[in-house]
Amino acid sequence: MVEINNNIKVLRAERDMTQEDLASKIGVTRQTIIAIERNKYVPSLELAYKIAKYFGKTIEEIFTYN
Amino acid sequence: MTNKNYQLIRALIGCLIAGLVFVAVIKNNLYLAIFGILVGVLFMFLAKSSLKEVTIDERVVSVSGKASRATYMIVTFFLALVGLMTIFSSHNGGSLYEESIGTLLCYIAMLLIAVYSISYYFFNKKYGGDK
Repeated sequence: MVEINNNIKVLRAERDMTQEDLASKIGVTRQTIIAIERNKYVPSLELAYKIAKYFGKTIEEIFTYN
Repeated sequence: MTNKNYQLIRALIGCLIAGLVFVAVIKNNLYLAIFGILVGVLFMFLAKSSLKEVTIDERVVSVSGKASRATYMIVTFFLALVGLMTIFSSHNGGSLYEESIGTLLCYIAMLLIAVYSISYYFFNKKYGGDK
């Protein structure tokens, strides 16, 4: 199982965004957002940076390695 | 156009091509089959160009890569296995063409391995692998 967790769902909820909104903002499919939120898929460094930049946070604040 | 509509249109175009090719085969008309395929490809291109949403991203590419590798391994293994079994069974009084079919299947398996090796070498080099 993937050992990298994230708080994208919380950040998204704070901003009242849907998965579809976030997907279109960072240029991926909604399925990818679902997979990342469920820790089924670990995004590439590039995508992780895009997500972090979009939420105005660092990668470490969003993704945690256990 | 949304992704959902695009998937629907793609399925409809697929049905149209299949239908046209089916009619072409029944009527024994090669030109109709070629026309059907060309029209289908054109409609697919038009539908794809009017799509605004992202349909391919890094996860899709990753999944496609894993699916391709699994397909390659399964198909190559079964082709080689069936080919070898056909060759061996032909030595025990099989039909005339049995050995040829078995040899052909084995050659196809070898061709798949060769193409896979070449493409692996190419992509490995492209993404900075050792020579």
